[in-house]
Amino acid sequence: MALPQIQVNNLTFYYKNSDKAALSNINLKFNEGEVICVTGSSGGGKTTFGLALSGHIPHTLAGDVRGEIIFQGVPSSDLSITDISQFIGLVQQDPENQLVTPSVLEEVAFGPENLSLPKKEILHRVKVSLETMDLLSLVSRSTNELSGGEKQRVAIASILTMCPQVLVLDEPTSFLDFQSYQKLISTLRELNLQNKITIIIIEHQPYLFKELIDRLIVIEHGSIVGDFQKPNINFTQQKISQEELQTIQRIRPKTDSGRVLDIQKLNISMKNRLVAKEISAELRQGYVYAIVGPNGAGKTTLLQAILNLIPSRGTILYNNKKISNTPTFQLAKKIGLIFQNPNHQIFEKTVLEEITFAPKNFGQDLNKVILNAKQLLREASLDSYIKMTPFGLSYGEKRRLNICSILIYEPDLLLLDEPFIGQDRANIEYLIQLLKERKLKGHTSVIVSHRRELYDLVDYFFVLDKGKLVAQGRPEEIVTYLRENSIIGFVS
Amino acid sequence: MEDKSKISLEKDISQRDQENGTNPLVKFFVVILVSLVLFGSANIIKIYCIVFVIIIIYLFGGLSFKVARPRYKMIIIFSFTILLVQILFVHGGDLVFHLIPISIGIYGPFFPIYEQGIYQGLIIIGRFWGLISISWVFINSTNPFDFAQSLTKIGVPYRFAYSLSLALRFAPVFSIETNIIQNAQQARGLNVNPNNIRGIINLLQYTLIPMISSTLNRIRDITISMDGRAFGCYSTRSYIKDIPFTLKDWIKLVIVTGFLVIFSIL
Repeated sequence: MALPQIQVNNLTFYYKNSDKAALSNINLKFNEGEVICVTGSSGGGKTTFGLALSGHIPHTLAGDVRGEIIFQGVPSSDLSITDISQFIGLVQQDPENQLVTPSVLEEVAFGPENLSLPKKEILHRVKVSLETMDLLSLVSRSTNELSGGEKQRVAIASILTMCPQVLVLDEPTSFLDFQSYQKLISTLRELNLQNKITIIIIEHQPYLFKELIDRLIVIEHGSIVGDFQKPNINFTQQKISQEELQTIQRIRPKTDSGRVLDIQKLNISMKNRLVAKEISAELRQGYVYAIVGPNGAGKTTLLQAILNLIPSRGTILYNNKKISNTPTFQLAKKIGLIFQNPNHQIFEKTVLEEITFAPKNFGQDLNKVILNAKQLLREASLDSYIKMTPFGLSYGEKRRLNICSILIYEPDLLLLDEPFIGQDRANIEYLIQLLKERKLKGHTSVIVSHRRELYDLVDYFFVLDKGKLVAQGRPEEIVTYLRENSIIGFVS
Repeated sequence: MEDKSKISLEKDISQRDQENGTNPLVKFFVVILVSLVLFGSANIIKIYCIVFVIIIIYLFGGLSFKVARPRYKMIIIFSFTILLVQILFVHGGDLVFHLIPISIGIYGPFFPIYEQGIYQGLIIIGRFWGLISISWVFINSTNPFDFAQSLTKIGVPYRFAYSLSLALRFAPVFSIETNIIQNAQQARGLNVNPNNIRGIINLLQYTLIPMISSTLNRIRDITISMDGRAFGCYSTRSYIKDIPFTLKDWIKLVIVTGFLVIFSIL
């Protein structure tokens, strides 16, 4: 009988200075050519498992490791990280943080250069990887100028040049639009079928890889709680039901609801390039809106321009008052913004101070605010961290804290930039509840996302492409356009 | 099709080799030479002449002046502080004037300003501006990884050369990140242009804490990314690009060195 490609025996891991096991007694076997999805709650140990599989635990990250991982019959303790890196490649969750060099060409060539390969061989590997990831047109671009989706493709290409036999991808769809996601699926299929590469995908939404995966592993609290082979995989468990989403859509805003935001002929230039062209849009009180479009369409830019975080030309009216010249910190009380990366909007020393940060800036009564803050933290299951530093929270917990920090002052208009990235089902349900409550109170929300769930959730779509508003309408009016242009996934 | 893309990739690499223009080592050597002249000279006219020439290089070299506004603000505040400290505490030469010329009884006038203080303050500011601006020219016109590659050619171990380049590579990223964090602060009602000391201290604290946290995360991810691609596995590495030290580079080096030597002797 053939040896398994990877065998994990009784693997337990504690991070340095932590008495809680990040991985606990893991036993698994992976065979050549398998496509496996690893799923589970935020902070459950999926990323740690990926780091252990790719040899970074214990070679790069310190901690207490028990048990072993055997790569084709050789224990990882007998191998260096360099040996392992040529066998198994890891594409990390945040593409931004793993690009080392300033240009696409150098990034993709970085690995083979380190292996001291001849220039001809490097060139060959670079060319094959760029072609596989459809990146030849971006070869001269600076990595700083790429969109999130493009960065993700460059990160994968830079691992492919190491010619690994196993590819581990941590949340590979986080920053991808639907078209890039479809491209990724076909690339992974090709790599698996033609090159017999074993693929391990760490993902909150395994149903996105339904057609591709042979096996689903569920990790909770550092332990394996499920290991299913096709056809015994239940994809619906991780999915938010259509029914649940539609409860928000069914709340009808008042028919006479007023205009909360009126954008007229907005133009935004960045680095001498027009990134938003003549955008006009009207947002009414009590509605939930979605701004969708491919990577680099200008969605985040538009949200920032509404809050005057970047300069723009044109007119923006909030409750019929011109706000184009109002400083952001004065607009903030009425217009809230939740940023893409939760780490960027945490500033304070404790969780309680963090949640009261904005009310303090607005000069609100702190006694009342603290009572309200404690209630919100309880509802978000964050009350046990009240005196802890917010920087020690997990990604999902930080996102919930971000939301609480905005909920505490209840802005009339809330802009959410990719709020679902890296979130598990429980956190998404928390977000949905927030949107529901806001809608019931007559507040307006705007979501920028690529997620399919938007179709059943929002009242109205704005579609941006290359900085232009190319379509808009209610879900049922715009479904054909969304489907035909592959704007958001799986619209049926 | 395959051949065409290969040709285009090779063409792109060769074009980049040609576009490299001045070898990064020449630029680095010029930065060191200019710094030596700036610190070796006590002639105020010479120092400001160098600052002027660097600004001309900026204007005609097509380099970007677009540095974040707060950074200009910081440089101006720092320069002003240096000048103030020098004129208040360095007493030498003739008395020029009193900062507060009023006398109250037998007390006053207050804060005498001497020639030496003004002169010393202006020299330090000139050196500071010269150093900052020549470094900007270097950073804005050099690919940090080309610099690392050229350092390895003169025998610097590549692991050391690359750690230096990573610091240069991530300078703009940190600037972008600071901007995002300050945007997030404004979006939660913080005035990021405070006009009092307490506001400035708060702003620094609210920016530094998330910056440190995100820098630590970034360092961890970059280490994983580099280790996962065999960085440091051999004592040498190969390169897809060539960064030659050409005859033109020698000529440029000789001209600039000659000019600076004559300039400092005169």
